[in-house]
Amino acid sequence: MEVLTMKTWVPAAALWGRRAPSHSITAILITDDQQTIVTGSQEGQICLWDLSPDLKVSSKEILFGHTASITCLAKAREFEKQPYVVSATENGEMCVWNVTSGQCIENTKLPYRHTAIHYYHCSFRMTGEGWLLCCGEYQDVLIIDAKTLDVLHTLSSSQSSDWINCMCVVHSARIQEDSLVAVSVTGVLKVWDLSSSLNSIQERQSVCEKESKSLDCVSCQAVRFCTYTERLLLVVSSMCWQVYDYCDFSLLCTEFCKSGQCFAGGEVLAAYRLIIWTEDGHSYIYQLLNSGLSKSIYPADGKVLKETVYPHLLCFTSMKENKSFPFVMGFMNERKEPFYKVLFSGEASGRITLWHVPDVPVSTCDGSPKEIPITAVWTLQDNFDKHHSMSEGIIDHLCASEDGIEAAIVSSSVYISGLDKLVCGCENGKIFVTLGLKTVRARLLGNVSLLKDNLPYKVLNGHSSRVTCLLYPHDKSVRFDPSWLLSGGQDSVVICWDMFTGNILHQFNLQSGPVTELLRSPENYRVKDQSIVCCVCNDHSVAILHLQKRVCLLHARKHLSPVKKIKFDPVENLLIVGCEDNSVYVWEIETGTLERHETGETARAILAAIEDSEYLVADAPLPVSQESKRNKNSGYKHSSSYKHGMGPYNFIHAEKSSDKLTDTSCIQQPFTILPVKTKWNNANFHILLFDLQKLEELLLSSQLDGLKSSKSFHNQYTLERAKSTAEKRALTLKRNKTAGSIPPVDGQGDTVCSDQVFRGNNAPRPVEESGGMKRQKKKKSSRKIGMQTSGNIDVNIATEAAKLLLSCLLPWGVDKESDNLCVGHLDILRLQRRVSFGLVSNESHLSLTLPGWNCADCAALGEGEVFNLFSKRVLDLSNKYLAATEGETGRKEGPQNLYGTKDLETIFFLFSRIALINRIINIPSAVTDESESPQKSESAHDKWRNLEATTPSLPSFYGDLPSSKSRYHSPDLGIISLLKLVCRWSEESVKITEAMQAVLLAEVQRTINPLRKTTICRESLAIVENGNVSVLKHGKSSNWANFQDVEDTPDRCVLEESESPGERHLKTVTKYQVINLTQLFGSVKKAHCNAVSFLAAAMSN
Amino acid sequence: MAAAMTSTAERAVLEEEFKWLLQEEVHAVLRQLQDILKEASHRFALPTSGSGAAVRQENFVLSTSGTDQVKGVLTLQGDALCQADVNLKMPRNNQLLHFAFREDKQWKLQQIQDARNHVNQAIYLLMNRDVNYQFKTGSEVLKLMDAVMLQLSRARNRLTTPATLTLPEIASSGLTKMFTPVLPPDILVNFYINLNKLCLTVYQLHVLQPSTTKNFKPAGGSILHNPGAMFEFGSQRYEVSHVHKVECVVPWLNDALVFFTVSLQLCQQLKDKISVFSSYWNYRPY
Repeated sequence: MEVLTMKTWVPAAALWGRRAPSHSITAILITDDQQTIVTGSQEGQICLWDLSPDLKVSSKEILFGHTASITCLAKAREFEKQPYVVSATENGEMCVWNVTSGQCIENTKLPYRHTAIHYYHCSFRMTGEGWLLCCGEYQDVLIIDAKTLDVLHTLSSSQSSDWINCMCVVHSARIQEDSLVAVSVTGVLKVWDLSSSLNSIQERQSVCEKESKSLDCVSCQAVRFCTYTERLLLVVSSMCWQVYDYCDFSLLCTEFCKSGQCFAGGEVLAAYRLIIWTEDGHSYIYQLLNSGLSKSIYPADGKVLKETVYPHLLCFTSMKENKSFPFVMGFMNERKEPFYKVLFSGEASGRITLWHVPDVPVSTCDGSPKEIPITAVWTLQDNFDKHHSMSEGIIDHLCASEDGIEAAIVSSSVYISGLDKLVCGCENGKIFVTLGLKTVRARLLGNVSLLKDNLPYKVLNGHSSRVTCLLYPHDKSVRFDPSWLLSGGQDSVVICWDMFTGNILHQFNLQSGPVTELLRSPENYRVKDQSIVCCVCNDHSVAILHLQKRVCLLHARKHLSPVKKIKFDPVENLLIVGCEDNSVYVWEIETGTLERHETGETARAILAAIEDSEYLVADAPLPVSQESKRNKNSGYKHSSSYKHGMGPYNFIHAEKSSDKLTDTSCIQQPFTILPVKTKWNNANFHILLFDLQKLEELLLSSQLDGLKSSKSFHNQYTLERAKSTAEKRALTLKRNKTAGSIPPVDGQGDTVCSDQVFRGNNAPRPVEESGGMKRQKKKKSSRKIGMQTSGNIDVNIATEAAKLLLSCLLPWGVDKESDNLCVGHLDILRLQRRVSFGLVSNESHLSLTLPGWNCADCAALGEGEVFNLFSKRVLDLSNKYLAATEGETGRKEGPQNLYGTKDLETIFFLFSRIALINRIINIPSAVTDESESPQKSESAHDKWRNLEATTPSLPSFYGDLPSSKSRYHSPDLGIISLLKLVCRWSEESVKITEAMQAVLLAEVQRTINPLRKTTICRESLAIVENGNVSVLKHGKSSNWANFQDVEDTPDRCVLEESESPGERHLKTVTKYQVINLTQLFGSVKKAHCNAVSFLAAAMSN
Repeated sequence: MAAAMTSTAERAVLEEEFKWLLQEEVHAVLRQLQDILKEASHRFALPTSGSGAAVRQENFVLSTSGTDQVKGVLTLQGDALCQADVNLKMPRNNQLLHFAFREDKQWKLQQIQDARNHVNQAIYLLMNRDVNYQFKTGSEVLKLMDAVMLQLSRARNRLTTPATLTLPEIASSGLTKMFTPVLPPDILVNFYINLNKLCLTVYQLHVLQPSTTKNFKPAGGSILHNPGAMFEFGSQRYEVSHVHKVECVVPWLNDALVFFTVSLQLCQQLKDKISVFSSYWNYRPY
């Protein structure tokens, strides 16, 4: 069940700043197809770079999801079959990513820190997807299942067991045995048999090394087997590299590094030819004597060979300027054309350098080594500079108009979704308060210069230097006044603003260095005072501010190291501060005295003692919303097989992690602007998150409203532009009331009480996750309430957000005519420029395209004006989609609204299609996860049932499908073909974003085409007549599912033929609506049953 | 105008100071750190490869403050216990049990090994940035310090946090098979490091009869189990009847811990110094 509910995708769009997020490369690899470079960073992100056939680099995508530094990357499958890469981090997280689609396939958190991973698969002797052989900060070698990421077994040592520094798999046709060669930190070389111990590993018998030999080298960096000679073993340590004979491990030659340099790795280039690279980015290609020896073994030849006693240096590469430690390098050795031999390096500064190593490296004529020139250099920032219009910050246009000089850099920001207010603190101390959605629209969309100029905003002047943090305490807790906005600055001042007037309510001067964090006091600490905020400063002090009384209650200043945890003891009125050095300070709030200072075991005990009471986690240096912090580990599946470690690493959780954003839990609202900061970098960027499901629900309810009182709705809609926020809120209220009086969407009795709960205004937030159909049912209603209680459902915002999403998704310029129609009729405005689009998946994984993605693709289309096309493939997919859903077109007459009124129904229809595709795509993966059945020949029928099972809570969803009424077990052809199509797409690893764009393109074309015809017709036809028709068709084409249900029923015809005026039509339509809804509820119940039976079946399996 | 002048002047001074910090002070601190950590690393007596000289052996006498139920002498060689000689006076019949490590066996103290490896990792991180290396941004220093501190705090945590083991885990560990004469089945032993102390716990067990009326509740993982803790091992249920804990101070572990703490503080101070200038280094091009 968890699997089924867990997979939700949230579309996201990024608004970058001018500065690229910092990406200090700690791991790098090139995929086997030489098309993608994968880098992992110290900040915890993974970057995918496009490597063109002529070795040009361009950033493609950035993947969020890890919460700590990446330690290593490795391929996780046979790459031709599945383009999967595994990443591991400093805090034990592991993720398998699909590097084509950017999706996280599997993730886990183990109490092991890996420093190297090797994929091993032996197709004829192994079942499953293969193993990940891992080594790191633990003894010996771990075997992890490449598919499930569970620990399968260990390869243990019988003697001198220690951490393993490096390893390689030796596959030799001559020996007919795969072995793992590893070198430990103390320089002991160990060999484990792999092929012959397959069975014992599968039966979990202990597997000890076959060979163990102490080499004369410490801090070994790499070990490589020469597959050309099948005899030589290259061992690179930081001081020297050595070649051993694999047969008897005798030392054949040693070469020391120059002083001031450290070797970092190496690879065998060809028989007797090696490439060795250093810590500072240099590399050297050596030619060995054929025997591999450094000296000739024949004494008679000793004199002759004197000149070639040492390995001969053929070529070298170097890095001249802008060194930034450390370099991580790798070499890709491909013998097949058209692949290259590529030496690649990544730096802490985020720069990637490539060298094309010639197939036969030769020294210069005079025998001196030849330098191989750099082929390509690239950084993320290069992409941002190149596409600078795309990397404009979220409020750059505001700042520009304000100062007229340069755009201020946003240093902190907060989005108050309830008010749709975006508050941005800037580098220069100014705080901008604007309307979130409008700002984003002005930033992204074209033809809105009007909007841009009239964008209402306020500037709060109070800080003298950078605004470091912002807090809107009312957001999560109603005990705070809704007008309070808190800002902390570099100047060590915390200001409490009245957000609505812009006045300073109070200014707290802390004199403790920059304010680093502002935190709400926990909910249970309201015994005495309600409005308390914690403030953490750069000197590690903690201030407790009472906002109501406008005093600083306590300023705890004794902490020696950064504050990690803040807890309150409400009973004794104590403040408990846990520091990074594992010490604990207990402060008495009343008197401001330090009660206790403890370290070690006692400190742990004190923190643990109040574990269950609410506390603030301040362990992240980047202020993410509290919510996401609390749940930050929830995204990770904790493996239960900790056996091998004997639990030595249970302190992992206590360690500092550079927490990184994004779980869907912080998306309480259908539309959110999420500020993101990467570690060690104050420049931040913003992500727009669109919760498809919630937007759909909102739009649906608005549709109900709209149909009930279509006219007034339109009035409201047009009014909206002129309204101030306050008035808007009133409107929302009004609409809520009507929503209460109309038969509620989910048709459950308890929604009726939502109105009261709304007034109560503190309904519990809907619980995310956790299974059980019944609970889900309940949840459904509670979410409904939750949404209403927040008092934030502004349908206008939802509509605007939906339109914005459609704008971001549409490939502009592909079909200019339909573009114009979209702009003119649907009010889906053109994008000003391409947008970085992305998806949040699995709650905590985010993939975002970077500026510069698919440039080549667009250029290849030859039209400069085509932009925002995710890939060339989209056009193809779109046509396929049109063909597959051919059957529907007959019934689904496009909406024909000639009056250019904003056709909300169409927008809703387009939107729900996207949501539908999104859901369908999720199913197959969920199903395969669940059943693990290798046969992929699942019938579309089954998938259909699964589809039902996964989304029983959304009646609107069934509405989307023509077959929703009573044809569950015989879904009609259109849907089956659609499902088949989409399933095929996901097998072809079509990105979800691509699929969504393709479907949108197809649907827009389909919907717009009739419109196009009628536009032409209009000239000849009488307008009045047209008007009548339009009203009719308008109703018909509203494309709610339930409509399509009855579309072929005779009643429908009656409706169409009736000649009553528009008003009456609408009423009839509404009636229909109600009837259909009740039918729908029946079907929903049915869906529940189906789901339950499906689950039962799945469980019994 | 004047204010602007002073602010630019002040800025220039600060920039100058920051430059000094990056070019001079950082290296001074790094050198100091390296010295301290090397000192710490020596304490762990890494078998210096090549020289072939065996690591020095140290003998420690185990003692308790109260009773003399357990007496013993342990021999520590680097990260391995190479000899153990334990005398146990059975409380019931005052019978004296004597057991020692088999000649061919050594017991690796993983905590010491891990701590030593973490320190060496930290040294390795520092090693690359010699005096010639120029730090260009503050964040670069912070990143390095964070990486070093991570290793150091892990090293310290390894020594300060013994593994919490369950009794079946202790029973199944190789330790029980290392002794001669073979340990009686009702005795369990466990070695671990707690701060600067090398500890030995001896658990005396009695078998719980299947017919017993006692509620069987297996004990969870713990550093030190109390009498009365129950567990199941090899289809037999046991209860701990007596626990004896003896320990001895290993002086060099104490030194190492002090070194860790001092260097962690040094790192933190450097970080604090850097972040004072954070408004200047943040927006420099890397």
